[in-house]
Amino acid sequence: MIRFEQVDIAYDGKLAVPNLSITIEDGEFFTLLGPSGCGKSTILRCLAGFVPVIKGRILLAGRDISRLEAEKRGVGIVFQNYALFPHLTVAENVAFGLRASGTSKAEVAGQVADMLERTGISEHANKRPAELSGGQQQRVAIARSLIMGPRIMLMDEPLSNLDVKLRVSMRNEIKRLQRQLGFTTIYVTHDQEEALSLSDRIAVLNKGEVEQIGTPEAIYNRPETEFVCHFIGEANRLTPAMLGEIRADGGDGPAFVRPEYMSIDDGAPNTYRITATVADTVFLGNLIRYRMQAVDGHFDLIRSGAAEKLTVGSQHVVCFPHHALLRPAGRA
Amino acid sequence: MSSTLCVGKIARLIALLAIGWMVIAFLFYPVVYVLLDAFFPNGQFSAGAIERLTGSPRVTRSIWSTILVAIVTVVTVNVVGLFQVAVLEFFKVRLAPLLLLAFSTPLVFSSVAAVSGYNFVYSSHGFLTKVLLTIFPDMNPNWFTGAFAVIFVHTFTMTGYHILFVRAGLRQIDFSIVEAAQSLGVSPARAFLKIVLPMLAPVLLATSLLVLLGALNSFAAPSMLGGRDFYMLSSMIQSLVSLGRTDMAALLSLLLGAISLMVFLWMKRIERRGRAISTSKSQSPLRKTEIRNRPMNLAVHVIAYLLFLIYMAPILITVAFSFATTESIVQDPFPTRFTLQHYMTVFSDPRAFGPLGNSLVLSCLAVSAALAVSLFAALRIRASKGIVSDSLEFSLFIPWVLPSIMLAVGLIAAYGKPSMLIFGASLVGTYWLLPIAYVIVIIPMMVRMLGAALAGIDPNIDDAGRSLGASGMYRFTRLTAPLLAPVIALVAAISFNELLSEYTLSVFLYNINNTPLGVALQNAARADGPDQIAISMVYVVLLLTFSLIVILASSRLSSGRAGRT
Repeated sequence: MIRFEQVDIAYDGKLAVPNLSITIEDGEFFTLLGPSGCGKSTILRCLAGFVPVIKGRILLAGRDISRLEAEKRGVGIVFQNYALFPHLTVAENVAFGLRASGTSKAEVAGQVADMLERTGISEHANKRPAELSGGQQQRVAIARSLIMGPRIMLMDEPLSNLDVKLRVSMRNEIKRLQRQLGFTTIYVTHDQEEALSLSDRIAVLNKGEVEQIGTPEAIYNRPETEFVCHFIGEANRLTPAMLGEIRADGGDGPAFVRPEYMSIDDGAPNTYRITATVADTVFLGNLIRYRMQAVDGHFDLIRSGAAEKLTVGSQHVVCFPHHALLRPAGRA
Repeated sequence: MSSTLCVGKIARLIALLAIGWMVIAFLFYPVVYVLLDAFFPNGQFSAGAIERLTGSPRVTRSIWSTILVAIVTVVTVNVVGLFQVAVLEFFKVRLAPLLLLAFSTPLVFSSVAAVSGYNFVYSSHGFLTKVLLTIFPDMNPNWFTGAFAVIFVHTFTMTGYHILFVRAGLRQIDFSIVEAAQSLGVSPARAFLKIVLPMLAPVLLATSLLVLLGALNSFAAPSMLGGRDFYMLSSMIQSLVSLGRTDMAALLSLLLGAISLMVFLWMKRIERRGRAISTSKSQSPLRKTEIRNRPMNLAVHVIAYLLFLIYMAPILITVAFSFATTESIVQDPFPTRFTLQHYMTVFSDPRAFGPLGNSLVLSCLAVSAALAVSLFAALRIRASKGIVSDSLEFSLFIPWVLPSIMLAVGLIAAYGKPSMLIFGASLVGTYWLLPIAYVIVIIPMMVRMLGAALAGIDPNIDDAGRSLGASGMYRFTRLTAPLLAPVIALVAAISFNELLSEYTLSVFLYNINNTPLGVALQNAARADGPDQIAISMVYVVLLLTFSLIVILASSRLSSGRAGRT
């Protein structure tokens, strides 16, 4: 278990993350998600030992590691740019940590071969990093950390340098390895799709502070703050007139609805209704996004491309189920 | 219009022919003459020079000394240079800016000026020796001599390449690689040895070869500090020339040239092979790490400050004593009585001003002539490709590879008697031999820098001038020259600075009418009179000041240029 207890972290002399308290369970895939500059990488680098703790402490399996040198923490890290040793071969890169710890040659060779096999890069063992594709470099970086048998793996936007297709396949690969080997993963990304698809739990960060921690479903379906509501997925903010029309219950705070929950009224029960006119359409291939104009504002409606097309200027009653109304209570 | 075009063409042809003559007469012919002198002394092949050389234990010893000193220098310079780079860029060491200042001094304090400076500290009448003699009266005052002294001075005057190139190489390394090593259980100090050093291998090898070249061709240090029995190839060649054995000197300089050429070609191969390519797409900048092992941290600090003293002592002592009275120079380990007399003497007494005046005039002459040749050549090389331009470029770069000593020996051998190539004149013993040699050796740098500057000028500018009807000469004076002006000024200043303290050619080719600074400093190093020592200290301070001005101006100019583009 990893515990941040009221930790202050400074970066470049400025307080970047104040008063951080998070607990991460063993074997969990935990993601730090947020826009760039929100402090997520700083938290990761602090856990790795590259950025000092100003106040508070970090406990790893009950032991305070706040002041421990990076090389003694036994925490694996995969960097955004992989940071492979360019002058060493793939096998030498992977063997580096074991050799440095004085493991016998025969044992190193055996373990390296096994790790290259598991990560699917055996055939590249004797190549230099520059001869590999981005995905292969990524695997080397992961293998290099995994071979040390870390209980914790830190991943700092490891997929951001890959193209879209490769990103999806590497995503599955990382998840498979994590399940197979059971290490705790702390993953940093600004890509919500990556976060939602990989994580057991997500911490959404904004300006150095945690907005919400929860499972992907909870984060998406029950956002606690307006920031989370906006940052994860899309959300239509309901205007006073729209709220007046639907007469929704519960509070005066801002209310939101995700566009995919909205549909043309078919008389279904337990729904709210808003009347609006089609102002614009955007063709997205399998989906069509309609920009709807209501009395005092507009919202988006997303429909399948296979459904009947709505013409610009036509008026419709749009409805959404009661449970789709989001009322994040927390900070804006 | 057509007549001006025609005149222009003829003028260009004449200039080209003049440069061709210069290259043949003062570059190719002397080099060929070295070969002839070595192997065909009387028009017939003779291995006599080889036999005499191999038969002379002194010569054989000088060859081995050269190889040994060069190799040891490469090792010591790398050890000291890498240590400097590490404490400047990788480890947290207090007062690093002061260390940077000290470790950068070889960039402005080199060759004969530096050797003189070290002499002022360590020689029999030097500061440190005086201090040591008060503690150990029985010690040998001439302890700073021979191979040890030469290697010592080499070590601390040749680390400039490390400060320039190795430091730049280290700064380019992606720091996350060091962090990756740390996350695999390796301390930063070990990461420096295991990861950073191997990554620097290509730049270290290239730097080592530059040091090797410098050490092989080193002349000021062995001739001023070698003492009676220690000779390197360069000082042996000088000794042979002064004995009138030009055939043996020619053969030795050929050997030196061949070794230098091999090193040079090796260096070019490395340059072409390039460096280990980092795969990192985004780089994280280098951050200094603390040495956590306390005794180690203390040791690193002590060594760093000791190096600071070694680097700064010659400069501080020279500057301080240049203001000391003659009595103080003779008696005190530290100057106690001060005067401006020596500076006034240098600028008012014709005998004291002589070498400085000579060097100023010779350098001015050489820089002007070389600038004219280089500018024409650079323009010509850029304007048209073809056999003429290619051979011009190739020829003008030869002195880069050619050791100065070989050129000097060649000029002495070729023009000791009247020669058809220079219209029946002979040059040895005349005023002009030295400035001609100066011109030849500074041309490669000038052509290269001017060529680079020309390549940086947008070709559309010249085309725009052409479309507006401007003639070639008009376009050059109104468009190209003003754009080149800063570089021309810089190139002139750098060359001037180099020639002011030029040593090798000066020692071989000077005569009593043009004794330059380098020779005067050498003479002063051998003299014991406090007046002459004081004057030479003033020379060293002036050289140092001028170098400093040129370096600062060039860095300002280059940063200004970078800002504008």
